[in-house]
Amino acid sequence: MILDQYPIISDSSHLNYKFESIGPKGIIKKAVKYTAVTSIGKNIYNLSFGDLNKISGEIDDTVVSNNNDTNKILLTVGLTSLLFANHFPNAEILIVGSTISRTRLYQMAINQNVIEIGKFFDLKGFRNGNWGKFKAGINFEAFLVTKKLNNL
Amino acid sequence: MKKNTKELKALIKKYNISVTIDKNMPDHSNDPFVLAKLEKAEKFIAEHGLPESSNIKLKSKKHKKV
Repeated sequence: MILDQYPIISDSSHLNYKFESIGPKGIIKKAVKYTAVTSIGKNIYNLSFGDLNKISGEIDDTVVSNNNDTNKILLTVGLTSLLFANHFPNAEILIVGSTISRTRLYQMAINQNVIEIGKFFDLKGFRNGNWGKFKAGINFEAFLVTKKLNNL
Repeated sequence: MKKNTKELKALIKKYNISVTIDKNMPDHSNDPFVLAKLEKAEKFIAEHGLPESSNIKLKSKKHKKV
């Protein structure tokens, strides 16, 4: 099965991933970063995703690139989580959007890949002050992706 | 663990996920956006905790599990 994804480049730490969005606006470099939240505990990582600023080279999520390839981008971001989990099997990924629209975007990415993600990961969503099972069609404020114990 | 890793590898192969390694790729750990996101994550967990199902051993009691 070949998915409509962008080729992914990873560094040797497997914490940084990048790919290029190709569309009407040209080639836009994207990056996904998994950061260990060491102050909280071991094996918890925070996901950051955005465009790579052309001048500074830093990740910037304030840009809305509108390159007509949202689904392909979201799938590619989702696939980085599989690659990440392959190297960090005990990691749990916290996803908190920097804005409501960004959180929505992450939710779309999870919705899009929920069947395959659900085979390996438990998906929890935070809403109205409570964590609960992720459900498509409900807007959450944050997400926690945890590997299923029965696959250990 | 081995089974899971094996299945993940199989999934990566099944989906023909294209990935190459760039040893010179910059690390974005100190990017302002990444640091801000990290701070936001820390605050979020301190305020709302993690689900009971999480396997994370929290360092501080203030980071409750709910």
